[in-house]
Formats: sequence, structure tokens, C-alpha cells
Amino acid sequence: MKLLKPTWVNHNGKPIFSVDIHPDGTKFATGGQGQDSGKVVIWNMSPVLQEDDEKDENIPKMLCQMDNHLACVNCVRWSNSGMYLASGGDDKLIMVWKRATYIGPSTVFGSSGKLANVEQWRCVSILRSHSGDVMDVAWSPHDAWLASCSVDNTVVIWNAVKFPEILATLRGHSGLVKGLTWDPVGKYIASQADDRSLKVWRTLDWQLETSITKPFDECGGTTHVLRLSWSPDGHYLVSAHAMNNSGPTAQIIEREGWKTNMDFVGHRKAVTVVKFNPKIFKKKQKNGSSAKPSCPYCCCAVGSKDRSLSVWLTCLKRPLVVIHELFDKSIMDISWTLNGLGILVCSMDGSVAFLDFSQDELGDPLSEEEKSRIHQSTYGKSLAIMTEAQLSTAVIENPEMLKYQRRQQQQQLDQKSATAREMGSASSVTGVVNGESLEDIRKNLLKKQVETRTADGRRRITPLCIAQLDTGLKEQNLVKDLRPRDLLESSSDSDEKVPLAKPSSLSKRKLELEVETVEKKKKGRPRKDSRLLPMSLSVQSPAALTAEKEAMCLTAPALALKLPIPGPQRAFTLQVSSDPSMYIEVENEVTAVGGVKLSRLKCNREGKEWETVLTSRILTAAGSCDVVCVACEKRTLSVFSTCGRRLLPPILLPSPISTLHCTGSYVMALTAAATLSVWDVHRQVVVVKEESLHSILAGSDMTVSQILLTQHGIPVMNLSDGKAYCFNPSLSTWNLVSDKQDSLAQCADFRSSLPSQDAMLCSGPLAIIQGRTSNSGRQAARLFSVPHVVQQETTLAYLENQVAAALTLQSSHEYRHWLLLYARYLVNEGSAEEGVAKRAIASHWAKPPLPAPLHRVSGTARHPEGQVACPNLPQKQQGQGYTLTANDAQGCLSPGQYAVEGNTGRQCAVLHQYQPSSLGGRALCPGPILASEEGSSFLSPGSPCRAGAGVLPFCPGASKMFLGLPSLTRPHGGH
Amino acid sequence: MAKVSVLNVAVLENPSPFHSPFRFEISFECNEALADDLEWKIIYVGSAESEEFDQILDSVLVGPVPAGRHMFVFQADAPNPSLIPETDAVGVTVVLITCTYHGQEFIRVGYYVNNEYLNPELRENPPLKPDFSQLQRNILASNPRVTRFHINWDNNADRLEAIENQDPVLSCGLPLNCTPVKGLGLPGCIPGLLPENSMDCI
Repeated sequence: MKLLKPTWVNHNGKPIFSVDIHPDGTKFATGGQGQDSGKVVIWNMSPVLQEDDEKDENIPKMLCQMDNHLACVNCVRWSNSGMYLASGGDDKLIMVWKRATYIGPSTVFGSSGKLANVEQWRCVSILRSHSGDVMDVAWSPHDAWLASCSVDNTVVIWNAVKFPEILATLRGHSGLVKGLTWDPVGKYIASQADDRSLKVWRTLDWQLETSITKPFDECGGTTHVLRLSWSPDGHYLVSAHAMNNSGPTAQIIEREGWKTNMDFVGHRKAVTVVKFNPKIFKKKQKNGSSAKPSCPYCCCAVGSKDRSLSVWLTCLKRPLVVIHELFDKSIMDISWTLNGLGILVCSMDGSVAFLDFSQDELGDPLSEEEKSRIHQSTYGKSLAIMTEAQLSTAVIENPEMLKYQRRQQQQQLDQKSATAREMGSASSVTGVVNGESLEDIRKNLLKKQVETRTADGRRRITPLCIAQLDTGLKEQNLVKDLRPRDLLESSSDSDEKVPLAKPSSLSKRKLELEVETVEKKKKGRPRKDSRLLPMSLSVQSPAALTAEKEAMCLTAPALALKLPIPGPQRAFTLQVSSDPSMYIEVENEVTAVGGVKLSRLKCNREGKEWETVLTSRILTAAGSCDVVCVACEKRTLSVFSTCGRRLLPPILLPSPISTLHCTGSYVMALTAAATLSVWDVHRQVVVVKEESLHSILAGSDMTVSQILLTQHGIPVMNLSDGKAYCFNPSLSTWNLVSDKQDSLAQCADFRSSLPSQDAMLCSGPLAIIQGRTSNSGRQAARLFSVPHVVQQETTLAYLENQVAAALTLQSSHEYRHWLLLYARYLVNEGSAEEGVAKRAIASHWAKPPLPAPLHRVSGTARHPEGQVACPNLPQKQQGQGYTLTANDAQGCLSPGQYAVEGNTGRQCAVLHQYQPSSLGGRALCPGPILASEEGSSFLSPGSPCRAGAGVLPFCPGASKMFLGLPSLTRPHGGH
Repeated sequence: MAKVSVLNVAVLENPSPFHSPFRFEISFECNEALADDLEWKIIYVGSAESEEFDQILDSVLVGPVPAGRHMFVFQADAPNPSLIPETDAVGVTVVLITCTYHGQEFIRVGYYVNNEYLNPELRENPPLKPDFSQLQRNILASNPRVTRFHINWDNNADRLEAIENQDPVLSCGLPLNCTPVKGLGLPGCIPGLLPENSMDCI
């Protein structure tokens, strides 16, 4: 163990209350007292780790400091993704920080200029709720929640996806709450308070699970913090300051029954902070010794007011190391590096210490896979936790891992250089506004700037906006877009690690991954059987390829399109869904009688199991709630019902299977020859017939990065160039539904029109495809800061595209979402752009656009069964208005199936299906959207309006529906 | 935290004759759209001795201010010479740029200003009654003195931070040490600072 006290890490002698190492290990944050405010400082980690870097004056030590907290900062915590930093302080606030990438280094105006911030961290959210000092903050696993605790006796759970939404306020403590910790599997959160209790709360309903008081009976409230910690395996919770026989301890609380039989004893004063190492360890295997599987153990650091630090292994009765008098004052916080070998400790005396352990001392850290296996075995599959961040920094276990990490690093480098480029271009963006350089602008600023007089005769200057800021948190949606883990397949072969089960990164790095697989095949594991990695995600194209095929694929010229083929595996399992629990097991080459090799397919649905055998090796399998299908080596595709009935004799595919996918009763097969077929196996019809991907896969280096089959049987291909196409069966065309590089998407800025409730959380195929492009409006903010009209136009065009895409995908929910957003945007911008507003609203509620100038779009019709609610127009009576309906027998809706409202009772409106449930059978009527003759468009909340024929003046359902949209319920201006 | 931070103030047309207007190009950054306008003032300190000779050269409202970086040029007429004590006309004085939001000053930028005769003869033998037309104004642009104050940026009165309001912000020209500095706090509030021997657990 090495010990270092980097003296340059200080707050000018002021106390440091908190320290936290960034998940990527390159920096760390400290929080504490500043000159006349609270202070958060972000430091470079490399000068701590390497002496050379410490001496190198070109390597900055301090990256950024933020003096925005009004009073002392008690806690700083990085999100698991590393994207955000949360800080809480005596000013009762929690601030969430995010790095601003497009603003270069800057100095603080008026300061001596020496302390330039190398990185720019910007406060993106201020969370106000606590009525007292905030003592601790904690991000939940997966960064879904942020918890904070305060001397106001409460714990607040914030929605980390949508700050500043509060999900729950946990009341129950009767004293100052001074520490928080999340259960690593996300089931509980624990808090410790001065009221001599430690409380465990359930995340399911945010209710108290248990309150533990016995070990704290003798405690007095004299520690500044009570930072407790949960072990990475989830078994133990260790409290800060507890007492046992008048001696200060750290109480160990077992998850099983919340028993309190053990404690860490030895500190002479109260324990202020306990921090578990994020890794689980196993005994170092010595060469030659019998590889006895030893029990994995955890490692825990305990800091105390007695100024000493102890490090414990749960397999040892005595501490691994105790360091006395490490500081002059109490230890305040501890942070482990993610690799589990380093530890930063901070103290009230304003200094920081770094301890560096070796693997010989701590043991071999388990890989994230092994850790997640422990979680799985203990807490069940669905709760297993593994984040991308953990993966990317996981300890190197094997050559593959190393390669992966290298590539990850390379990627990060690329990203960095890209960011650098971006920054460069951004600064030039800031330098050029609307075609003019900043210098030109400055020359003429006085002449150009808009100066008006207010009513009382005062001068009023409209400042020139030279850059807009991104203060939104939308990027977090990325994290949310990770598909549920239960879709993951895992190899049932236990001795084989699956280092590449990384769903989130897979789609991004498709190409590299494939190459990597090949490398691994060649060098990493020379095995007889060509067992390869299982497909990571059933919705993605397979990562597993045979080397030969891959080589062909990589070198194949564009004319002979070849998609990757999954290699045969000995066995694999595929979880179809978790609720109801359904999984498929495949075992190839089960030796049967007479030397004939058979493959076995097993399906387990909520405990009910069936199995069957096939004569050819199964390459890939897929399942839905209705069907299970498998594709075999002999180019056959077999389809079974979920009860095990064979629905069809084997289908012979034109070429080997590449990807198989099921949704509902739809089966989609993508072959290696890049042809796509979709069948509805229940109704036994073909939806898409051997459609070639040639038209969309132009260029040899393009690959399909993600495949999706909507519940209406519409296939969607996400390509590696960021474009996404869906196949429109009615028109037999590939339609471009999303483009990451689309400048419209980048420029559109409709954030102001996002509804408060379901902002960006609209789920559906479109959202899945476009998940990564949710940063819309960011670029816009930069590029089009001045010409508002341009931005408005791009936004309108973008929203039009979205509406059309949702319609083509037959995603009713999203269609509604985007249409409402569109309407809202039009209304928000309406006063300026009357003509546009009128045109757009009118034409969308009445497809196709009507020839006559439309002043009123109104009226409703309710289906006899109260189900159909469609936009129809006065003209509808003449048969010109169209409504969007679907044939429920098919459960699908395609553009060709628009029916004039009023057809048979079998029609129901997909568009407004949500209505019967949410509004008690009320119908959505377009009535409230009006374009008045005065030209200003607005939505009437149901007030009577002057209207012509066919107008339904009052629609309670509609008014209710729009109640959530304040901007839409403006008073009736024009009437 | 402050919603508005001043990034830079560029002093334009400096040095310049005494009677020419002041021009400052102000760049600032706002991290949250402001509901109301900012009010900027240029204050010319006529005499170091007393505040009564301070002249507010001009005040402007600046708005609307969405989130982002903004800039504008603040031009104000030269001070009225008749309000300046004759003994203070030549020499070093101060010009202040202040900004308030909802009547609360949150930043004050001060520049030293040197008024002197260009003509060496006049410099040697200054007239008893200052000849303002011959004076040149030189603002020491490289050395601004910036003072920031914590103010309440929200309309909501119940969110007022007690610590932000305990000092009369407006009239105070000095940096406000209004936040309690930990370590100087009252014993009892900050238990961690109690003497080490007052441990409970031994």
C-alpha cells in the first residue's frame, strides 16, 4: 500500500467535506467551504496517480471550480454515468452540474486571471425542496433517481431523468438525516440520522421497510456526517456511528432479516464515514496451489472522528490496515476508484489523502459479469445490475476485455478529438452569428442594437444573443433508452465468460464489434467447436459471426450484399419477456439414439414447459407472447405457438438467416443475402415479401445496427450511418423515418412546447429508433440563435416529419404525442406565424389538405359505440374528410386502410384508443383546435364558439384532455 | 446561485476627451431565462470624499434575457462638470457599472479613471478652474474591480434565502461576507467543530 497526501488538493485551508472520484477515474470532485461561499472543485486525477504528471506543469491539476453554492458544500457525488455531478450544501440546495463542451477555457471576469477553468461545468438544475442544510446526496444504480437528505429530517427522491421532479419525500426520521446509501440492486435506500436510527426504505413504494435503533441507543449526535454504505454484493449494510458496550463501532446490518450481530470495532471515536469498495474480491490464486474456489468477499473503508482510517475485508476478522493520525481533524468522506485499488479520503482539516493498494493486498476483483452473476443468483435475474459505465472501466479479465477497453479508450479519444473539433467549430460558431463575425458585430453593435423606450420613458436595450446554452437534461434519455436487460441472451456455458454482453454499446459500435469478434476467434480462444458469442440483443443484428463469413462480409463488394450469420452454439437461452416470465432454451447436438444428432428447443412460460427436437442445429431463436420461432442451419425456419404447437411446416428461407425477430404474431426474418420477410403466422399472410435491403444499404461499409418489428408488423432498420427506414407494406417502399444527421432534427427546438408530464418520455417504435437524437434543439440553439424565423421553419418541418413518421409506423401513441406537440408549438409561436399555424393544423386534422381556405377545423363524431373519435370536418359530410381508423381484426393500420368515418362497427380508432380509459369514453374532438377568422390560432377549452355547420361547440372530453396544456387553454381572445 | 454572470466588459474609445460619452461593451451570461429586465447603471464618482458627488450617468433596462450569452453596448453621457468639485476634477477617480435585478444589486464593476490634461503646459500649471474641454479621460481598463453579491433571483418570496437578505445589499459597496463561514459558526450548529475532547463515545 502506498500513501500520498497531495497538498495541492485544498480549499485554501478551508475544510473539505466531501470527495468523490469520477467513474472514469480521470478526475475527482471535492466539496466544502470556500472563501465566502460553498465550493466545489474538480481536480485532475493523473497528478495524484503519477508523480511525473504531478511535476509536469503542462498538466492542469485543478480543472474547474464552482463557487455557486451560497454556503458550505457537504456532499459531492458523480452520477454512475459520469455525466453529472450533484452537490448539496448548507444553502439547502442541490445543484446538478454538467460539463459544457462547447465553451472553451475561460477565466472569471475580474479575477487575476490565473485560475482559468480548464473544464466548464455548468449548473443544469437546482433542486429546491429542503428547508435545511443538505447533508448527503446519492445517485441510484442506473441513475434513475437522486436522493438527498437534510437536517430538515427528510429524504427527498428526485427524478433524475426529469429534474426537478420530486418522486417522494421520505418522512419518518425525527432528527437530522446525515447519510444515504442505495442498495446496489436498487431495491432499497438506507438513511442514517441523528435520531439514533437507521431506516431502510423500499424503492417500490417509498415506504419504510425497517427502522434499526438498537445499535444506536447510546449514540449522541456529535458527528457532522453519518455516511453509511451498502456492500456491492448487497448482503450487508454498514452504518456510520454506532455504539457497542460504550465503544464506537460501525454496525453491520445483514440484509437477511436486518440482523445486527456484527460490527467493526476499534475506532476510538465516532465513525463518520463507511465506504465499500465497489468491487467484490476473491482470494488471489497462487501459482501451483490447488484452485480452490474461495468465497468472494468485500472490502470496506471506515473513517472516524479519531482521525484514523481502517480498511477491512469481510473475510478477515481484523482490519487489513489501520492508519492513525492521517489528518489533523475528523475524516469526512471516502471515495474508492472504480477499479477498487485506490481510495481518496478527505478531512475537516482541509486536506486529502490517497491510498494505493495492490491486487496482492486486496485480492482479485471479480469481473462485472461475475458480480452480476452473484446479484442474479441472490436476487434473481431481472434485478441484475450492470451499467455501461461499469463495463467500460471494468477490471481487465482477459484479452478480449483488454481489447474492448483499448477500443473504448480509442473511442473516447476519438470522441475527445471530436469534441475538440466541435469546440473549435463551436467557438467559430460563437464567433460567427448569422454570417457575421463577432468582430463585425462588435463594431456595429451600438448602431445595431435594439433600443426602445418603456412606458415610463426609460431606455431599454435588447441584448444581442451571442450563444445559447444547453441547460436541459435531455441527454439522460439516452440512458433510459437502454433496452431492458431481460432481453439479453446469455450463454448457458458457465466456464465461458461473455465479455461482450453490452447491449447499449453494441449498436453504436457494430462494425468494430464484429471485427473484434473475428480477432477473438482467431487469437483469443482457439477452440475446436466454433462456439461464438451469443447474440446480445434479439432486436439487434447478431454480434456473433463466423470468422469466414465475417471476412467475406467485410470484403464483400457492395453488389453482393452479405449480412452476418450467427454461428452455431452448443447451447443458449433467450429470455423473451419477464412478465409473464418466458424464456427459450436451445441445446444443439443432443446425442440421440442411433448417432443421429438432434437439437432441442425448450420453452418455459410461467413455469409451464414444453420441448421439441429439430434435426438441424439451431442458429437463432426468437419469441413473442404469441409465437416462438427458430432458424436452423439448413435454412429452415420453424414456427411454434407458445404452447408448443407447430404452426407451420418448416419454411425454407432463400438464404441463411441473419436475424430473426418476433413481435406478436409477426415473424421477421432477415437473411444473409439482405432480404427481409415478415409474415403474420396467425393469419398466415405475408406482410413483407423478400424485400431487398439493397436500396437502403448503399455502400459496402454500411451495416444494420438495429432491427425493430413494431406490433403492427412494420419492420424498421436502423443503419450504421444513423438513418432509419421502415418498410411500408402498402406502398412497398422504404420510408426514411429518422436520420441522426438530419439537420432538421438538430435544429428543431420545441422544448418550450413540451408538455410537463410526458416530456420526451413518449415510448414507441419512433422513440426507440430516435432515442439517440433527442438532443434536438441543441445545435439549433447555437446556429440559429438570431434568426428565429429560420428555427421556427426547421422546427415546423421537423415536427411535420415526426408526425408523418409516427403515422407510417402506425404508432398511435406517438402520433398523438407529436401531433399535440406540433399543435402546441404552433400555438406557442402562433401569434407570429398565423398563416403557418393555420395551414399546418388544418391539414393535419384533415388529411389530405383541403383546397379551400380553412378557417375552422372543428366538429366531432362519436362512434355508436363511443369508440371512434376522429378529426372530421364540416366537409366530411361530403365525404372529403378522412378519419384515421383501423381494422381491429388485423390490429394494424396502414395508410391504405384509412376509412371514412362511419363504417362498420369493426372499425376503431387507433389514434385515440387511449380515450375510453382515460376520459371515460369521451372522444377526442378536434373542436378545441380552432383557427379563428382573426387569424390567431388557439385551442378553446370548450367555451362556446361562433361556428358554422358541423361544429360541435362543446366537447368536455376535449377540454379535459387539454387541461394539462396551459398554453392551449388561453382565454378566447378573438371572440 | 447567480443567474447572471458578467463575462467581460470592454471599454470602448479609451482614452477619450472628457466630454465624450462613456461606452462599455458588456458581455454576460445568463443560465436561466429571466422573467424581468436587468437594470444597468453607470455611476461616476465625482469625489472620493463623499457619495453625494456621485452622478448616475445613465441607467438602462436590458431585456428580455433568455438563457445564453449576450452582449450590448452601454453608452452614457459624460458627467456634468458642474457637479464635480473643482479640486477633484483632475486626477484619479472611479467609474462604476452596476447591475440590479428586482432592485437588488448583484454585480459592481469599478474602474479607476484618470483625468488629466493632454497639454504638457496645462499639466504643469493647471488652471485654477478646471478646463474640462482640455481634459482627457483614461479608464484603467485592464484592472476592473469586480464585486459580486448574492441576491434572490426568484420572485417567490418564501424562497428567500435568509442568508441572502440579512445584509442591506443595495447600499453596500463592499463584498458581502454574508454567508456563514464554516469553522466560524456557532458551536452547536456545527458539531464537527466541537473540541475533540467532547466526544460522546468514550
